[in-house]
Amino acid sequence: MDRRSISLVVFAVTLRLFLFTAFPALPDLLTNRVEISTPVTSFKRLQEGLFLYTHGVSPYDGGIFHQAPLLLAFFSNIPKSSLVTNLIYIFADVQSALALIDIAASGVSASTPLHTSSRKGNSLPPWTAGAAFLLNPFTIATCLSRSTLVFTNTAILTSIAKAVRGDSIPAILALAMSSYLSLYPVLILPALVLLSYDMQSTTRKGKLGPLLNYALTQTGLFLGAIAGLLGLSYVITGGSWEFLYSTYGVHLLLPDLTPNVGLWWYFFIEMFDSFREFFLCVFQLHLLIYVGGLCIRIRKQPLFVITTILGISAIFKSYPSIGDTALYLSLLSLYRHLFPLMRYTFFATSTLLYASLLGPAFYYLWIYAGSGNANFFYAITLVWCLAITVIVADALFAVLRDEWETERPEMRGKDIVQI
Amino acid sequence: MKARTTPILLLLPLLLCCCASVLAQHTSNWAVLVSTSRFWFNYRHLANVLSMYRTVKRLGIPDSQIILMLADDVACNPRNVFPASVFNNADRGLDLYGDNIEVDYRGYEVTVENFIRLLTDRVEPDTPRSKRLLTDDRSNIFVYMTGHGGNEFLKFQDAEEISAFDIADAFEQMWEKKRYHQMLFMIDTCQANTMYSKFYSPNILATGSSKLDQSSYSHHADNDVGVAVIDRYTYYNLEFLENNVKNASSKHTLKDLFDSYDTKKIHSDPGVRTDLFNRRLDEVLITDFFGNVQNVEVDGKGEEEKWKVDALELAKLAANITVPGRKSAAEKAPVVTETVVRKRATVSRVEEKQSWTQSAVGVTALVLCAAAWFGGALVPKRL
Amino acid sequence: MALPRPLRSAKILKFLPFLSILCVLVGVTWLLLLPLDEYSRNTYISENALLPGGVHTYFSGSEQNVFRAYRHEVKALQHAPIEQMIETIESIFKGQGLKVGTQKFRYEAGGKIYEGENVYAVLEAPRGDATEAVVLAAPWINGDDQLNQSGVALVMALARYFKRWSLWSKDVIFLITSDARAGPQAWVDAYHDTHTPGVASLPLTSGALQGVVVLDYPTTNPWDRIHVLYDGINGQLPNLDLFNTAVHISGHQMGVRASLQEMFEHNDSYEDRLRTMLRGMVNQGLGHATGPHSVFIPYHIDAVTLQVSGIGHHDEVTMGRILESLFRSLNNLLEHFHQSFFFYLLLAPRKFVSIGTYLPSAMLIAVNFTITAIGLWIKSGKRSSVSSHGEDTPEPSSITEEKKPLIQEASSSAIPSNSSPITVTEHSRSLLLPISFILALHFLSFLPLYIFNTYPSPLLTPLFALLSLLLPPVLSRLLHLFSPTAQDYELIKCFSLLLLGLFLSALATLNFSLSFLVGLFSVPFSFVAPQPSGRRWVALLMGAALQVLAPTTALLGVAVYMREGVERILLEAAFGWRVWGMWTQVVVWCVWWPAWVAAGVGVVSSWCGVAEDKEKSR
Repeated sequence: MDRRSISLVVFAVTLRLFLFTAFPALPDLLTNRVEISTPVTSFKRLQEGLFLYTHGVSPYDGGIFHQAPLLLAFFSNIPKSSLVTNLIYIFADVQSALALIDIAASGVSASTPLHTSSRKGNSLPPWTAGAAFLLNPFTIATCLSRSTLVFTNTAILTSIAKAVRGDSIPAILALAMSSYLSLYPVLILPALVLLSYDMQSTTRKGKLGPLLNYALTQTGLFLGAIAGLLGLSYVITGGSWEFLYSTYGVHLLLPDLTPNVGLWWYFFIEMFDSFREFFLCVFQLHLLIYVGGLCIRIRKQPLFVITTILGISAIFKSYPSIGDTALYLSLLSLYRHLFPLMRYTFFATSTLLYASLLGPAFYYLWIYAGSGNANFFYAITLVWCLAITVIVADALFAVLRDEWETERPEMRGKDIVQI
Repeated sequence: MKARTTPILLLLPLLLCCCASVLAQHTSNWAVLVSTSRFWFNYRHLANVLSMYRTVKRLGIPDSQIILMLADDVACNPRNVFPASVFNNADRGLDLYGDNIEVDYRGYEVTVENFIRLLTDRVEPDTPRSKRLLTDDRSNIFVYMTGHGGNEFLKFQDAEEISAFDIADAFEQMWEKKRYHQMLFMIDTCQANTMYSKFYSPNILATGSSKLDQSSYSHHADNDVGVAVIDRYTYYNLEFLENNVKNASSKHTLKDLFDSYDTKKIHSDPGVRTDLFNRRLDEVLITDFFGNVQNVEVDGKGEEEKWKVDALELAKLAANITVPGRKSAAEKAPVVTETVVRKRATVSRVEEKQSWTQSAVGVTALVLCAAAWFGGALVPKRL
Repeated sequence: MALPRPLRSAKILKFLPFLSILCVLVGVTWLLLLPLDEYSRNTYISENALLPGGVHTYFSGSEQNVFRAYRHEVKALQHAPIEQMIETIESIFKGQGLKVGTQKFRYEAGGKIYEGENVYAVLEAPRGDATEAVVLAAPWINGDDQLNQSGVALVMALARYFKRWSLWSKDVIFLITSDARAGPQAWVDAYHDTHTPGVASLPLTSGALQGVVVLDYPTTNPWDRIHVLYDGINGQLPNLDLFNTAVHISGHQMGVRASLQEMFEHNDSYEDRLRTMLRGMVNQGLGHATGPHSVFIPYHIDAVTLQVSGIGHHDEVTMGRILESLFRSLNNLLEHFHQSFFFYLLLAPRKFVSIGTYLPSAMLIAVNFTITAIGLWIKSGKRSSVSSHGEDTPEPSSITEEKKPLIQEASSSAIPSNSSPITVTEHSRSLLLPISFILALHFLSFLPLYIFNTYPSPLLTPLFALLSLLLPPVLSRLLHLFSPTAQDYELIKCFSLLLLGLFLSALATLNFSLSFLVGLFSVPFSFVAPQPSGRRWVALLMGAALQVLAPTTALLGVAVYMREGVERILLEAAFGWRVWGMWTQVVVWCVWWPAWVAAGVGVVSSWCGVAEDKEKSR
């Protein structure tokens, strides 16, 4: 790790500690913001669950707490001091950033074993990827709100970092942990397997078996890890499978319609009950369909597939928050060399900024001033999702264009016109 | 030639039918009076319906044959400067709420579903008689509705609407089930005449306060109560009934009533629909719907024997049912109480009692995770 | 390339400034059209339950005698200490059989202490369920430092009178505050348990407050009309139904004319409507409390103040009857005011425009900045034909705010690429300097915000005006140390305007007037730019225009408008910040001021020869 990375980390830690201590009301304020804390990540709900857990009541009684039991085991066994808690969250953020720096340092974003971008030289130094994560206001807000999404993000990034280095077992274990914590990371499993297969095949040419066997082994390992985690959870919650419904069931069935930045809550408020199951299936399957297509089409760059799937799930998952977007954007910063190929960056950035300002304003009008209504806020969440969609699509375009230009260097800089 | 006679032949049974119905008299009178709105500022709707209630009662329909549906949130409203009274006139000469009124569907029971179930008699088996419309094909029914409405709909308590089609279909079901002989449908709401425009069942006479795109207006307000106390259409109906139909033997016909409607006074165009009703209006007494008749139809002698046999059978059946029932009840009784006692929820203070086992399990789980992680890192990459 | 194809064309660049101007012109014209009959609407009562003016009022003769006795008591207490006033009122309320509470409060703002005591009585609805309440309030000393003698006496007389009715569905609270500014705030804060340490808790409370009417009636003479105040803190407004009910009852039932926004002679002409609207917008834009009712509105409690004005033939009985009828209407409410508008501009007592009609004007002004920003972004990316950069590099753009500074690193390592004649080539933008500058400026803006809200000394304004004059050159000098290029200035302006447009359009949804006014003052920011040395007189003119439109000048303007000294305004602002929670200062210092400084730095750079480079490169 170079000097700049170290100073970056020191700066980010200081900034967070400063914000935690100088504005003691800020974390609680952020914890209550619907844009940052969702029912499945909220720190407030975690505390509620912890209270019930330590008082000998099932934490899932009352339908408030929807997070994984291991978090209970963890938080009930650390000293009950806000400083310790804050430090843990800061540490998780730092770990995420270090993982990102690792990924950036490997240069996989520009050059995989199967594909080397012609714009490779245009990449940024590794520490900037860490900075894009650590200094992003969305990440900082998520960290300050002590949303448990922080741990999911750390697990995802760690998993990718391990996969990039070819350490397939830790990668799968970390992914299992992140999927265990919040379900949706399971979507990146195929791409992650491809990534670690590619990376391992470069280091030990010929020794690796065919992809299918490899994939089956890894999936088996993943399932084993998940089974282990669920088994531990079973023991932790005192021999009850209740947590399955209260955690993954909530992700899947959406019983809690607290507003968030996503598209689901309003849709399912308005939905007639008889269509609910159907649309739940449609929405969940919709997320799933991207996985196969992306893995096949961009087979040469599995890291980008992972990035895109994370971006898509930041829009379409059941309880998204700005922390998911922060994760996507920081991974996207690895593709800095492709930004010149993107066409709507200024537009999308402005839209994101607009949405981040107008969202709280409209929420205020709706909830506090009473002069607006839910439609105001929903309109802004639509804009927010639109902006991310534009970025996802634009990045996808840039990657495809880059692959095409790599194949056909003579077409570089020429416009493509659809006839 | 043949072609010319067939229609007549076809019509014959129909004609016979008509004759029969005209000749046959009704044997009971029922009234369904509905105020579909709630809240203090809709005082007048409650007053409308209570005025009608008072009128039909005055003309002899007993409470047992009047179904009164109203939100009933006005008389005892804290805003009511005359507690427990409802007036339909600013002179406050008559307290509509005063003596005894029997409200059958009250408050949140006034729903579209309950109204339609009442009409079609598709009710729960344990519904009390007071909440059922126990009519047959010899019953004349007077249906009066008031509230806030629009083109082909009537709002029920700001929560739901009944459409003209719903009512028309309900009446058709009633006809099919022989639940009425003749019916008078009267409605006082905005665009009221649209509400009966969809009726298609026979023997229904309908009248409403205003035509399409017309509002119905209130008659006057009581400035001490602070609200309008009655609607115009209902007011002038009542005026006619009070002044002309003094008792149940009145010979005034519905034609007289309908002729008394004055658009200038009512401020809207009242409508009457007679095409489904095959009697001449000047032959229909007002008391055919607003009053009570005592006509009794005596059936053949054999019927009495049948009835006795039925009663006997019923008694046997009842005996059979009760005896084993009692027994089993006696057997089960102690068991039941026991389960009740056992099921009683206990209220206890939760205290922080994180046992060392809980901690140990937690720590072990975490340690296991960590071990798996580091173990995984140690495994050679070859896998 | 960061923009879709149609925007790449060079023609559009020439067109954009005109589009900007067009937006501003249309926005302003739009506003000026609003008072016309075609665009405004007549007010109407939207809530059926209110039934305004539907009751006879009985407040009369004998009550008048009681009122006079109370007024005598109040008059006698004029110079007495506040404790005695509280004690007397408390005993009067207790004598009427009401539950009474008192509350002491103490605020500190801008180095001054504001303290006093409130007294209030709760009439519990005999047949109600105590879940809701309405408030009739009167400040002991009104906003103009007069003894509110008839007002306080009338509140007490009405308390006695209301007590005899049994028809209340909500509790009625009678509140006498010792002053018109801090007292109501202290009371409403304590009512909702959000009070600051200096403010005592309330010994007794009732249900959720549904409506508040404040009476400001200092005179003992007959009066001519009532003046309805309705603006709340931060430009929030009460539900239009409450205002309409007050106007309807006074006009229809009592034959008393109502006026608003101090337009006492309103003949419903275009000018009068426009003036009423503009006064309303200034009050809304300033976001201050126009009366004791204003502090209730942030709690989503609809409130108005009724003042008497003029000399005529109405007396306390008329006012008593208006209030009686108004409270009967409030009593009829079934739920919160919600039917009618919360966003409106009133043109006359019975004319208004709703948000859908007027919002576009402020939005258009905000959009003008965004358009200019987009134009500058494209322009800054355009490659000059005789480029000193020499190399044709793809333009590194950015995705997130956070990453922008980092991209600076990349431009050096950008790889050369073979461009084809088809595409419009762009050269790299260096984003680090402009973004750091803009961020620094916005952080710097907390300084004046803090200083002005903490030390509102009279010396501050001239000092700050001087600073405003000097700051742009100094900053420009400072900026020069980093040898900025013309592109840097373009990008500084671009980001500054982008942020300004962003903030103003978000603000337009919360406080239309403030957004519109700040937007209007900021219009020149779109058009000022560094000038070549040959046209320094233009730069001089621009600089002068900027000085005229500076936030500090606006402060002086407000002082003139409100006929107060600057010091008083600053004290008021500090008080508003501490006590009322006013946000106007934040907008002025953290949104407007940085944009102003950025524009100023741009103009001053004319003397740094930046534009020269650009011209040369052209």
